[in-house]
Amino acid sequence: MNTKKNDQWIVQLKKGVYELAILLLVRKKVMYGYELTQQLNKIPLFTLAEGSIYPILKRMENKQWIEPYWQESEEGPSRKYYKITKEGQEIVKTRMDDYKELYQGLELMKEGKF
Amino acid sequence: MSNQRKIHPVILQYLHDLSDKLAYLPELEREQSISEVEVHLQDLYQEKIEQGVDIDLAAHEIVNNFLSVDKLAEQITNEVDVMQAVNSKLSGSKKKNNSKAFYSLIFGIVSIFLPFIGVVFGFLGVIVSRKARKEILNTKEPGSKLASIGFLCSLIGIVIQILVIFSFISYNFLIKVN
Repeated sequence: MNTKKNDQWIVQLKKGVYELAILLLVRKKVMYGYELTQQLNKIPLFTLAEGSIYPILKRMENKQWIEPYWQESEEGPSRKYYKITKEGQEIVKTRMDDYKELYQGLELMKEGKF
Repeated sequence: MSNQRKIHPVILQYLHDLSDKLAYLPELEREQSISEVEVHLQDLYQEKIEQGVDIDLAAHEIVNNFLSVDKLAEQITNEVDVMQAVNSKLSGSKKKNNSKAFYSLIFGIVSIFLPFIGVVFGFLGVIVSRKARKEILNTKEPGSKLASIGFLCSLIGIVIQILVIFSFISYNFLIKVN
């Protein structure tokens, strides 16, 4: 029961930060879906089922946080690369600040200084 | 879908099923989603093959571990629907043509009808239409026909204006001589 509850919490937490994680990745280098999934899967907490990234990317594209472009590839069909937009950069900044604040708040509560 | 790389029948089946499930999405939207997933599946497949996994086993494993067709189609459709609702509210339901393609056509028309200076617009039209083509290739937005017409008009404009300039000079020369 306890583990189950714990798992659910992680799922919810992950859902909230996927977009931010993707923004942070494409901020450094343009990437396509497969590459992004590989990078996210390097961190155990961010593990993402293959294919699940596309609805997230679509959503972020709609919000104009990332901008796609197609590039020919020698190894096969054209790849859809994503780059961060100005709006995306702003989102990264505010969300990272929010997370810092949230974490610092929890730390303060943990230490009983609140 | 591209045939540059051989696609395993199991992967092909997945892509066909996905295409069927996304049937009611706009064609461009559907094609783009399918090719994006195709690249992903093919990259995973290549990775497995390089690890020495049997091709049939590799294809089955990849498709089984991938998000199911139903789930993926449902999630993509949800996102696209939202986008279309937003787009149609903002700018009508049709996707806009590439703006450079539009300008190339304007420059092309001006170059045909504006004597002398039209030649400058002709060259501008050629440059802008080439830029438009590059952009369209990257973004896959509509407007390639517009860019082609712009290119053609600009070329015609350049030829006409060069002839106009040439005849003007010859006319003046003849008058002087006479």
